[in-house]
Amino acid sequence: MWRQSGRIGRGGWSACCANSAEGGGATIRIVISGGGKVGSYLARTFSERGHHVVVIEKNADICERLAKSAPSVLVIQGDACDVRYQEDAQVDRAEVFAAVTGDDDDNLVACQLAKVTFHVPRAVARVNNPKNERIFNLLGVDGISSTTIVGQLIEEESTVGDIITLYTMRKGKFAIVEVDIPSPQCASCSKEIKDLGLPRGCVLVSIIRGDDVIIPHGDDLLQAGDSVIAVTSLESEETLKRILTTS
Amino acid sequence: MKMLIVGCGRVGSTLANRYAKAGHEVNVIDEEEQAAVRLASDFTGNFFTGAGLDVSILKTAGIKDSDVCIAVTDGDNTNLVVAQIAKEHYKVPCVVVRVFDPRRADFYARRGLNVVSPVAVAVEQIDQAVCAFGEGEVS
Repeated sequence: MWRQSGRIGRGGWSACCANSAEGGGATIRIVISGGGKVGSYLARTFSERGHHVVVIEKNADICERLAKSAPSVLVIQGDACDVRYQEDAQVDRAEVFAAVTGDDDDNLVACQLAKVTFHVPRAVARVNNPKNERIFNLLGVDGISSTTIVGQLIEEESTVGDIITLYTMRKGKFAIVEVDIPSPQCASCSKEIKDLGLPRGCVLVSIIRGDDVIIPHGDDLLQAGDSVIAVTSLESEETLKRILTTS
Repeated sequence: MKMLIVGCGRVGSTLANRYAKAGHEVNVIDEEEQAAVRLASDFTGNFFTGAGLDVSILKTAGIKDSDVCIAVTDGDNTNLVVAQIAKEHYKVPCVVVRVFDPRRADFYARRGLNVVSPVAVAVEQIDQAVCAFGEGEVS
């Protein structure tokens, strides 16, 4: 469905998406600014999962293409930084607002509008230039930089040796890692855990020793061959590795 | 005073020329190197080429210890972001931002930015001119 201009009345939205709330999980309403590669992918993915999706896009050709390829998505042609179009998209009724155009200024301003004027609980902006990530956070907008994320993932994948990242949280700022204790000469094998001097922002969660899983206490000792599972911040990862694996 | 002007179009360059002539330290940023031709031949300030959103350019142009920051590029959103960086992050004491879209101007004015809305100004002035004519007609 493609609205070139003008208002859609209250209820227009629910009417267009009435039969899309099938399947498990709660249905959310998401408004996306930008219908390019990222925007249209997001729109189709959310819409296939049965969520209510509205896309605001400036370019008429892109609007038409998106409306054809994703019939259950409501496409509004307009400027998402303009209050009127956010009103049309009923951002005030949305759970999520995502600004994913190729323009960082636009994404930031659109998110600020959505948050402050329409009180959307969650506003996320795509950050095209990773340099701008700090500015976004500074101005209270949750920014996601694909460049930064891909960079971190590649870095993790290329980590060799005795620390393996099992799971990352908060866009890679925290991680659950597995560290193997290589030899009995490691300093960590002769001191109780509480005396290892583990950095802040890091906690040992469990020790896998043969077939046993041990939930560690401060007075436990590590052994060579143990796999230690830890939650750590990005900053503490190197220190954790050094403390556990060097003699 | 130390002034940073982002955007060297008609408004930006006129302000830059005026303040430089008055003896202030003026730094100007514009995306286009060409924009520098609008500055007077005896312009005493500095011109930097770069995007207003690029914090490293803002830093090079001395945003940190500027007393005044004026955001007058042709993009409302760029101006708004620059103004917010200047105000929130660098605590520049006087930040003025031009916003063409009257609704956006209103919104950010309510959030404490010093916003100049050329549309609102033009509407007011035209209205005054028309009213003055109307009164002349009556008397």
